[in-house]
This record gives sequence, C-alpha cells and structure tokens, in this order.
Amino acid sequence: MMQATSNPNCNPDGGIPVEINVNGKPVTQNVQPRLLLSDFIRENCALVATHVGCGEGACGACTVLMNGRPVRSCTLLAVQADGMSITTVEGLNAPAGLNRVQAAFQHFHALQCGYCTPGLLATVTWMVEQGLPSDDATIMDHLAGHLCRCTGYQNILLAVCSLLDGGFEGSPPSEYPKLIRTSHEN
Amino acid sequence: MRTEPGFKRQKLVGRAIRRSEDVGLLRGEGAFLADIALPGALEAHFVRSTQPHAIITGIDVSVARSAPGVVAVLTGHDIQFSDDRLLCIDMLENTLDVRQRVLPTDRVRYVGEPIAVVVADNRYRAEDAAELVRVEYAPLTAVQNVQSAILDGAELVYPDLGSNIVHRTHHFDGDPEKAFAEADVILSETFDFHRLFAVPLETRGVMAAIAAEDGRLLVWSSSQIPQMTRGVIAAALGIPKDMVRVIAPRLGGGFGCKENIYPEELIIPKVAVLLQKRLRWLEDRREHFTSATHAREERVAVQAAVTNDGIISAIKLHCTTDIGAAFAMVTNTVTTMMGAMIRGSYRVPSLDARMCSVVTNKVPLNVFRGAGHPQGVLVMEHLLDMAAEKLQIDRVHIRRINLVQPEELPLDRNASDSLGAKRIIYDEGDYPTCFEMAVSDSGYEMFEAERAAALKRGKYLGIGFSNHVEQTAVGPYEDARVSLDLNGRMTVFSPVVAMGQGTEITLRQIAADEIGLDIEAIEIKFGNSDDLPDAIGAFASRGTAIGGSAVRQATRALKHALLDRLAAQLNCGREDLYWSEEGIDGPFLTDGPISVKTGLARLASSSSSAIEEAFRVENIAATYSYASHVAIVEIDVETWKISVPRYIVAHDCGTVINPLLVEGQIVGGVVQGLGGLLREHLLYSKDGQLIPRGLMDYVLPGISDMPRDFRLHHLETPSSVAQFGVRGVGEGGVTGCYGAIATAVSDALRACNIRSMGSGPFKPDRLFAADKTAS
Amino acid sequence: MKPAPFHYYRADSALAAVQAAAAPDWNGNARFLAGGQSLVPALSFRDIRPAVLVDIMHCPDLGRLDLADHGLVAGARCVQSEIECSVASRAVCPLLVDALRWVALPQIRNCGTVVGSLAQANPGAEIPVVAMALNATIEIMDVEGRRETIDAGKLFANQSGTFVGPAKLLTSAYFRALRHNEGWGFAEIQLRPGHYALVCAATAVVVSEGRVAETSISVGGLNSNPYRAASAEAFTLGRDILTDTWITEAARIAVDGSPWAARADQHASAEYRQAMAIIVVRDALRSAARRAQFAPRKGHG
Repeated sequence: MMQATSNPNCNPDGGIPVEINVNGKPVTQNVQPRLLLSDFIRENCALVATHVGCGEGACGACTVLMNGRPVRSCTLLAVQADGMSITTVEGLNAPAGLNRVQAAFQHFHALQCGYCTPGLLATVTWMVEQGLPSDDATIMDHLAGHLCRCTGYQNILLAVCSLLDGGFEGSPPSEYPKLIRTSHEN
Repeated sequence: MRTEPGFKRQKLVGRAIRRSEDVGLLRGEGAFLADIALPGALEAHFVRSTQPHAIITGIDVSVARSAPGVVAVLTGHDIQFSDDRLLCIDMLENTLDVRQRVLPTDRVRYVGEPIAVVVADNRYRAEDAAELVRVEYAPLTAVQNVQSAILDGAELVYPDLGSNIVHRTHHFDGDPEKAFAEADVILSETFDFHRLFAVPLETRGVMAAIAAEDGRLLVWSSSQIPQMTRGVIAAALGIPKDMVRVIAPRLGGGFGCKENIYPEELIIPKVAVLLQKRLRWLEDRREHFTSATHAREERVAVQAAVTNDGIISAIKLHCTTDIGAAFAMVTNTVTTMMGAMIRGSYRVPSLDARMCSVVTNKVPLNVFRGAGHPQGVLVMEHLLDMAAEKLQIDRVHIRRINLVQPEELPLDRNASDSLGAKRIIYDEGDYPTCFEMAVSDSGYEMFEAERAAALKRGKYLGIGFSNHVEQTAVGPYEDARVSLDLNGRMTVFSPVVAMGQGTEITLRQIAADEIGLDIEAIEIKFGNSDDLPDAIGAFASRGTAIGGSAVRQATRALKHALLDRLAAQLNCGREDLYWSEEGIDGPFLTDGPISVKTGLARLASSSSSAIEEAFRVENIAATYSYASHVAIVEIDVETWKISVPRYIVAHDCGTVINPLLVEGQIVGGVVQGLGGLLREHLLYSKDGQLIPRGLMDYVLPGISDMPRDFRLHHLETPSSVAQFGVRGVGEGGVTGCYGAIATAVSDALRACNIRSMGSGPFKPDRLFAADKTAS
Repeated sequence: MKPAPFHYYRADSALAAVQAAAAPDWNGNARFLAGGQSLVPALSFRDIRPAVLVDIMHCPDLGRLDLADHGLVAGARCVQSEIECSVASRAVCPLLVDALRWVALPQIRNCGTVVGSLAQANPGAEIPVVAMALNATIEIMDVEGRRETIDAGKLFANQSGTFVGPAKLLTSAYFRALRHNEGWGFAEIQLRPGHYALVCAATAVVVSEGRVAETSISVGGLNSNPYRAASAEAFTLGRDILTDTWITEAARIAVDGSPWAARADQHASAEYRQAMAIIVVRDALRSAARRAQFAPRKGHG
C-alpha cells in the first residue's frame, strides 16, 4: 500500500522496492517489474540451487516454498513475492550432510542428473510437513508437476513413500533395498 | 622372475554403493553451467530464422544496436571463422558435405537457425533488442519430409549438391535374393518414426572468458564432449589448441542432445574474444525446441522372407532418415545403425539393408539415447508378430526359434559400424535364457484369461515382446589420468562427463578397488580439457566400459610407479616388491606387507611429489549388451488412454560395477522410451513451423506414466572383448521399450480390429481415429 | 523467455486498480495481476505485452474467501488452494472443490486465483465450467467504482474470451451452495495430470420424488468457452433417478447442442474431443444423479 502511493506509476526500468524473506534472511532490493522470481532467487540472491527447466510452470524444477507452500518460481514475478518468505533448497539444508528428505532420495537412488531434484525437495518437504498419507495416488497427485527425465520416477515414488509412511528414519540401512523385484543369475 | 599377482581384494565393485555425488546434488550444490558465477558477464541472445527455407535478402541491426543495454549485435558479416563448418564425424567417402555453417548470411534452412547474436548487459534487454533486428527473407519452398525431398524436381536444400539424399550406407549379408525366392511367406510393411527429441531438463549453455593469468580462452559448455569441442573451437577461431580450455560442468541430462558441437559453442567464444568480455548464453526452453538437435524421424520400408515354420530367413529394407537441414556430429549414425542392428538378437541369416540420410528444412537430427537401435528393434518385433499372425504360430515360440543360440556366438554380422570402420561381431551371451527369464515372469501363460478379465472392466490388454542386441562402448580410444599424493589421496581425471549416469561413484569404486584405498580417498575430476586434452567423451554407453577401463589401467600403471619409487627408497631391486592381497609385499619388508598409505608415508621422507600416471585404452572392440523386454499395456476402451500395468526386463550388461546405477539406467530408459512412443511428437505445421514450443505443448512422461509393476532380472556374463567384462547399459532401456511397447499396443488393438499402428505416437486421438476407420 | 518491459502499479483499492488500468497512457493495454499463473508464462513467451500490470493482490477491499450457508464468495484475492483445502468449502460447494482438484497442479493452485481463472477464460480451464453449471454470479467494478453483477452465462457468452472489457475488474464470484436433494458431478479427460482439460463437464441434478426435477450441464474444453447444454438439461427432466439409461442420451444431446464447432489442437482432434465430451458429460451426470439419490431430503431449496 505504501508503495502504491510512492510508486503510483512505476516504469519498466525503475526499481520497485521489495522485501522478501529468503531462507530466513530479509532481502531488500529494488527490482524491475518484469523480473521473474526465479531470476531474483538465482541472479539477485545468488542462490543457484533452484533450477529453471521450462519457464512456464510445466516441469517443476524451479519449485520453492513461498510462505511454506510449494510454488513455481518461474511463473511468478519477484514483485509478487514482496512481503513473503521464500525457502529454497539452500534454506532446507542441514549445516552439513543431508536432511532426512535428502537422505531418502540418496538412499533410494531417486536422482540421477539431479537437475530436477531441488524442486522435488521443496514439494516433498511440504508433503512430509503436512503428514500426507503415503498412498500412491496422493504422491502422484502432488508429484505430477515434477518432470524427471532420468529416473523413470520409480525410485522417487519409493523414496517419498518411505518418508511419508515413516519407514525412512534418516539413517540408511547398509543394504540396498529391493526397489524392484530382481533376480540375479550366474 | 615373479609376475605381479595383482590386487585382488575386490570389495566395492559389484556393490550397490550409494552415490557420493548425491550429497552435493541434493544440497543444491550441483554447479551446473548456469550455476557457475561469472561476475560481470554480458548476456547473449540469438536472433533465429523464422523461415524454414529462405534467401536472406537483408539483415538490419542498426535499431537493435542502439537499444538500451546493448553492447553488440553481430551477424555472420561481422564474425568470420577460420572454419565455419561444424563437426560431423560420420561422413563416409561418398557422403555429400552438408555440415552446418555457424552463422549463415545468405540462406537459412530451418526455423531456429542462428542469424545474429545480441549481447547486452542482461538477458531481458538482450531479448528486447533481438526483437529489433530486422531480417528480410525471400522465402523458398520448404522441403517438409523425405517423401517430397526425394521426388524428381524437388526443391533442393543444397542446390549445389544436386540431391537431397546426402549419405548412403548398405549392409549386405548372406543371400537375400535366394532367401526371398525360396520364402513361403513374404511380409512387407512401412514404418514412419515420428520426430521427437531428448529434452534434458537442463537446457544447453555456453560461457566464455579470457583468463586473466595467461590470456587463454576459457569456455564452459554443457557438452558431453568437451575435449572435441575444444579442438573445433580452436580451429574455427584460428588459434592454437593449447590456447583454449573447455570445461564441461556437470550436466542436467545429456542423452545425446549434448553430443554435438553447436553454432553457439563457436559464436560465444568468438564474440567474447572480439569484445574482450566475459559472455554467457543460456538456452531457454523455447529456444531448445529449435536449437537443440532432434531425433528418431525416419521411414523404414521393410520386407521379410519367412519359411512356413516361422523362420525369418532374410530382411530387405530401405531406411530414409529425415536428418533435417544439416549434419550434426553423428547424424548418419542414426540411419546406419538402424539397418546394421535391425536383426538384433535374431539370426536372420540374410540381409539387404539400404539406408540413407535425406535433408529437409527442419532442425538437424542427431543421435538420442539408442541412436538407430530403437527403430530397428521396433521393426524387427513387428515383423515377428506379423509372421506369427500369418502362420498362426505362438508369438513367444516364433521368437524362440529365431533367436541366436549361445553356441553361435561370437557372431559376425557381416556389417560395419557407423564410421564404416569396424565389423559388428557379437560377443558372448545367452539370448534364449534372457528371453525365458523375461517371459516366465510376465504372466504370458495366463495372459488370455487376464485379457478377458480386463475387457470386462473396459480395458483392452496387450502384451508385447522384444529382444535386442545393442552395440555399446564404441569409439577410437579413451584416456584417463590418475594422481596419488603422498597423503594417500588419489585424484582420477575422468574422460567421462557426469550427466546423471553415476560416473563418479562408478570410477571411485573401480579405482579404490584397484589401488586398495577407501572410496573416500578417491576424488573424481571430469570435464576439463586441460586435464585430458584428447579424451573422447561420454556417449554410446561407453562411460563405464571404456572410461572405467582407462581409469583402471591408469591406476595399475600407478601401482607400478609406486613400487618403482618405493624400491628406490628402500634401496632394493624393483623385482623385490610386489602387490599381494594385503598390500605391498616383498622380502625386504621384514615386518610383513605394508598398506598403500604406509608405502606412501615412507616415500614422504624423501620426496613430496605425487605419483601420476596416464593411460590410453586403444583398439576398443565394441561390446554387445542384450536384453529382453515384455510389456503389458492397457488401453481404455472409451478414452483410448494407454497405461502400462506391468513391465519386465531381463538383461545382461556383463560385469556390473554398481547394480543401483544399472537399474536406474534401465528403468529411466524405459520411461523415456514410453514417452517417445505414447506422447512426444515434434510436429511441424504445413508451413514449416515447429508447433510445440514448450513443455506444456510437448508432453513428457510424468510420474503417472511409469509402469506400475516393474520387474528386473539380471544376467551377468562378462564380455571377453571388454577388458573388464563390462558392457554398456545406458541406452538399452529405451531400445527394448520401443519393441515391447509397440508390439503390446498392436496386440491390444487387435481386439478391436485396428491394424497395427506401427511406431506411434500412440496418442489417444490417433487410436480413436484408427478405431473409427476400422469400424 | 523473459517478459517484455511493462509498468507496474500496485493498487491499494479496487477502485484505484480499475482507474489505474483505465488510464489513457496504456491505450487500453492494461492487465490485472492476481496469481499470475497464466499471465506470467504468457508474458515470458511475449504472447502478451501489456503496457502495465495492475497488481490487485494488495487491495484490502478485494476479498479472499467468504463462506455462508447459501454459498461461497471467492474474492479476487482468493487463491484456489484456500478453497480446495477448506473442509467447510467442500460442505458448501463440493462441485467447485472437486473441480479445483483438476486445476493445473497443487503448486500452481497455491498461487492461482479463482476469479483470475474466470477472467483468463482459458479454453481448458475448469473453474469457468463450474461457474456456468452453478449460474455463478460475478461482480464487476467499472472505472467509476460502480459494481455490477452479471451471471457466468453472460461472462462466457461469446465464443472466446470474456464479455468484460479491459477497464473492468472482476472483484468476486459467488457460487451458490449445494441444495437439498441435489447431487453434483465433475468429470474431466486430460492428457496427463497437470495439463489443461481436453474436455470436462460439471453437472448438478436436483431430485424430487425419485425423478429429476432440475439439471444443469456445463461443458468445457470442447470450444474456447464453456457452454450450458440447455436442450440436454430439458431432456433429463422427469427422468427416473434410479435408472441411468437416459444419461448417455442426455450426454449425446449435450454435445450435439454445442453452440460452436469443436476445437482441434496438437493434443487432440475435434472428433476425439467431441467423443470424449460425451463421456465426461455422461460420467458427471451419473455422479450427480447418484449423489442426488442420497442427498439430504428436507429443507429449503
């Protein structure tokens, strides 16, 4: 409201003051109206864990948490996040090593190239926080918007399922789990 | 004289060790190209052809040059290259040279071809200015497909060459004429493979800078082949190779899309040199649709000679591959490998396969995971089903009787690979056992009951089979280098760029086993052309088989060198030291064997220099992985949507280094294949424009598309032609999927009298239309 | 894929927003910015190049979600997931909540607004279809601050786009509550979860003494805008709720009665859309009829 009166007519090159809490720290900047939130995060804040895969909200790589909920950062303008709090993977990281969600992804080999992974972590972290049920339908519903070109999704589903049903404790068992029914000959 | 027993204390290879690289990736510290900070870099954006085929009559950049934030707007008139043809490595003697030019000024041949580059202080303003560049075109007739391209009097994409057919190969084996003359049944069919592409989730990108310390040109490129890229950049810019350094950071997927040298990879460094500025170009997804190579599109007209007992005695085929407007790096491989490998796991003694590459006004085509193998498998499996139907033979039985038997291996297929260099000779394996493993777990025995039950709940059920042999681990040679410091930390310089395949953990397992150090002591470095200037790169399922072999051999050389140094230190003869199960042993070591670390510690008293060795693996014989896939598909009788309730793979990739990664490759490959058959389609409009422009239009498989019940069976027959028995596994998932899914869909459609829909795409509206035509 | 430049105006009231958008500087080329989930991609592709974006998400007088017994008012700032996640909303307006689960993706519904979806009127969007089925009323404010209420039928009366010009702001939408003796149904066919509807249908059926007393059928995706299938609705009246033989015929009439030709695109042919439209209308109608059988009987309508 304040800005509406101070910037009744903000031109394209003029900066709009925004205050966005990024990973717990307030960031105050003047941004161009057309700056995408994904660019604000990556370029202005130099937080490069959030990747851009499609630029139109289809692939989910750029997903971050806004006020705790997963949103696409490529289909939002930075000015829309004014006054909001944004959490990226950098903000979800433990001081060192992996948090529980990340550890499950490693354990189940739920990533290959890892480019889509930060976006998935944002959504899955929210799912775990919400205590969503671990049935396939719920998981697929929430992960429908995350494209992974490498894994074929099988191991992502297993990792998320183990997180939601509490089966994954964070200390990976040493043996490789039976991801898919396998047999060894010879 | 004793022979060194070698270090046999294997403990890591073969185990499903979790990937060490995951920690950084999961923390968002993957450092993909766009994540690398290049302070002060300018941003580039390309003006691309909006015309499929036209003479450029004028380019006006004056308005754009004065736009806010713009530093330069350059066309091919402003930028000259010493060599402006991009690399193609699979041209043969009679191939017409249609290598792509970097930045044409006279004529454009596809929508998306770069015409000018805009450099500005940020990407937003670069895009603004690009809109101000005026390109005038005199449109020419666009050559839209191979059918029209090969007609007499067709518009020529390259008028000087006199033909749109630019490359031909021919594979001939046995006596096809005799086989056809004696055949009881002759089958014939034509398949039109639709155009699609790899779509790594990370698009491409190039950055360039002049290094302050030595004035060398530093280029970052999201490339599967940074070393080759370095050579091409140096040649194009007319500077010595050692003045260029190319870095391929970690890739967000490659799949063959990044196995090419693109115009942007020459333009960005050139402009950086011209302007003496740091420069960055990040391909956006919309650009990617017309600036990254396409794949798969070809027409295959095939005939098979079959005897009454179901033996396919010969295949004749014509494969016409729509390669788009120019060669990419290994474009011709697509058509060559399709014909060379069509027989796959099946005997088929006689073959007459004629393949050609045809130019059209579309985006250049290149390999994509599987190269021509998926097309070949699909055609072969369809032929088997056609024969089974015609002769009333069980579909599994007809495959059994045509499979190559173990005692027939090794088998010379009397065909050569895509470079015309090496013969295709299958190494060992047991294809029938592999097939039985897959079939016995598929529920085929009870399938008719399952099918009837499914129909009651409104689903047409189909089962499909495929057997394939895939040429893997090809290429002239490969390099690796290893360095061991006296603190016991080993660095492996890998020729293989990390793009998701798990190359870091794989090489750590190999090197740690070989040298006898902990996995944590091994560091993997990749993608820097300074480290291995002449390495080949990551493609054709060669990373583990060849790159791994080079690393292992280099590590062995390192072990020799370590003993050399230690012998000098201990004042003993070199032959008095050797490797045993416990480490380094020998008569002078009175307290018994010592570990590598102890040995290094002893060296440290007199020296501080690390031990370093390099190794080049040469005379590489390709290995032949094989697999059998069975797919069960379900088609909704009303909506015609397809799902895959069950999918079974049995495979043999030789010695397995890490089963976790092998399974990941196969499952991921299958889903990528599914997407290609069920959903993805790079459709061009009648006026030569590519219709999809983003991932809302081009529908990739999502989590709901994956097979619900995925079963995987492993055979592990070490290959005798590969140094450590390893065969490639990166592409087989896609290849097998093409045959299994396509025949499963055809099987399901038989219930409603829809004739086979060939190679898809099996989109609901197309199935619906086929049903309307059938009824 | 970066937006072309535009001005940005953050309005502090609905009237300020309308007036800012109507300012002569923009030559009518102003856009309101709410969730931005369709707008921002369109900006990135440079499909649209508004002179100004007027951000309405900071206007305290534009509501969020207002629930009452008689219905639900989604203010212009009401985000889709707010309704979707509210148990109370589902009790009042289950048809809207069911349809919302088909809208794009959960991550997009966390930003996209209900009213914004009505204003955008994408051909494959679900919320306009529900609005048509429920005779939703939409409040519009003009540059003088006058508020006008129009029904969804008028909003989507044209073949494409909305009836409302650029200088008017959709301030809220009212969806009536589920009535006694009423059942609802929503069905959709999409290429893959997260995509727009190829076709979808929203229905409501009121039953009285075992027979259909009132029906609404709204079809989306087949054309650019949704439509109400009046002749099919009439056809259903008086039908026995316990049999469903009439339902398929009603669905066929509903699709035959489309006021505009079916659209085709790279995802589906017109013929396929038409055939699938019959299926979704049938399924939605069947759900509605079944639910109507078990709907609470007593009370006012």
